[in-house]
Amino acid sequence: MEPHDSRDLDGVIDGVARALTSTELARDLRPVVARRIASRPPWIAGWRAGVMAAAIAAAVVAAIVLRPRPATGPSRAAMAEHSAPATERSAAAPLVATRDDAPTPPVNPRARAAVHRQIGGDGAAAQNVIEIEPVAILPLREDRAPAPAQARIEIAPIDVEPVRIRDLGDAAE
Amino acid sequence: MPAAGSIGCVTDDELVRLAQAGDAGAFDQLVVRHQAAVFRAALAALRVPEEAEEAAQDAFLRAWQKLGSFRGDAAFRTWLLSIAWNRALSRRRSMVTWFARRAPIEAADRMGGGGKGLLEALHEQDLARHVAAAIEQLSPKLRDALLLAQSGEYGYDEVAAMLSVPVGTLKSRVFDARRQVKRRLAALGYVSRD
Repeated sequence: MEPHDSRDLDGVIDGVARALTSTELARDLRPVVARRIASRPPWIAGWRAGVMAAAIAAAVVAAIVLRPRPATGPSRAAMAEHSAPATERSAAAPLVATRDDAPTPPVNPRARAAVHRQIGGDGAAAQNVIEIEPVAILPLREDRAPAPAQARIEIAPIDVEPVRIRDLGDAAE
Repeated sequence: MPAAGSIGCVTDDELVRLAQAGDAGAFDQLVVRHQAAVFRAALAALRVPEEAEEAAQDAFLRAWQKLGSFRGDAAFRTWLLSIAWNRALSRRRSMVTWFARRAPIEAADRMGGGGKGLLEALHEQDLARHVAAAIEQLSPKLRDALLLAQSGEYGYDEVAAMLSVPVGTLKSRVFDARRQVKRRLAALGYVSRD
């Protein structure tokens, strides 16, 4: 290998370093920069845009979380439909509860609370609420039979005669 | 807005004041004046022209957004180059971009001897390739200092401002970079006469 003058090496290093950054800009940046500036107002700086986006996201999440949940039980219309025959029936003849009635599904307490809140808080909606009269409760048929007279226990007085032990003899031992 | 014919006489400070008042045309003129320097700074960091152009655009956009906070403590060009360097560095942190760099060999090929004999030209080209590879192997700190200082585009004070180091530190880094490149070349048989 040919030895190089150190000054030559310095020159080569400088030349290569310059060449590494000597690529000319391929096009005028002015139109591109102007377009990007026009499409993005200066007051929307990066961090401000980030803060705004975060605030909007937080508001959306809060709205979703605080929105009243739809009741999982029957709707108000369904309840009205269901309660109408009951009122007719109660007016005609008292309903007697029997053991053959289908078991009612457990009511979600949260849903019940939501329905209660709607009725109590909304005056206009309260006018549409159908009042359900209290159901009459009568005793079962066998319960109507006259109850048996209360049994009396009479205790007859016992006659006690005085007895001498001496007279009992062997039976006393 | 100054007349188009006299725009060359308007200083950067005047254009900055107009741009700060919302004159987009004045900022256009600043882009025209400094786009080459901004692009070269980005190229020194990224080594890929397409990436460097993107970084240069980002730098101008950032400068426009922050123009209100520019108080003229330093020259506008120095302030702009610092923004450009930081934008380029944040791009360089993307490893995909960093591994995609390919410019060194192309640049070394471009260097190979114009106007010389064929053998001499091949020899020079071979040496240039080795120098480019040796520069590539430098630490980013030394490489950035060498490339920016030898680009011929910036003064030492501008490069020092870009790198946020004192001028003395910059000179020391350039010296260390040269020494390490020479050491690697010596290992390949390129010995100096002295």
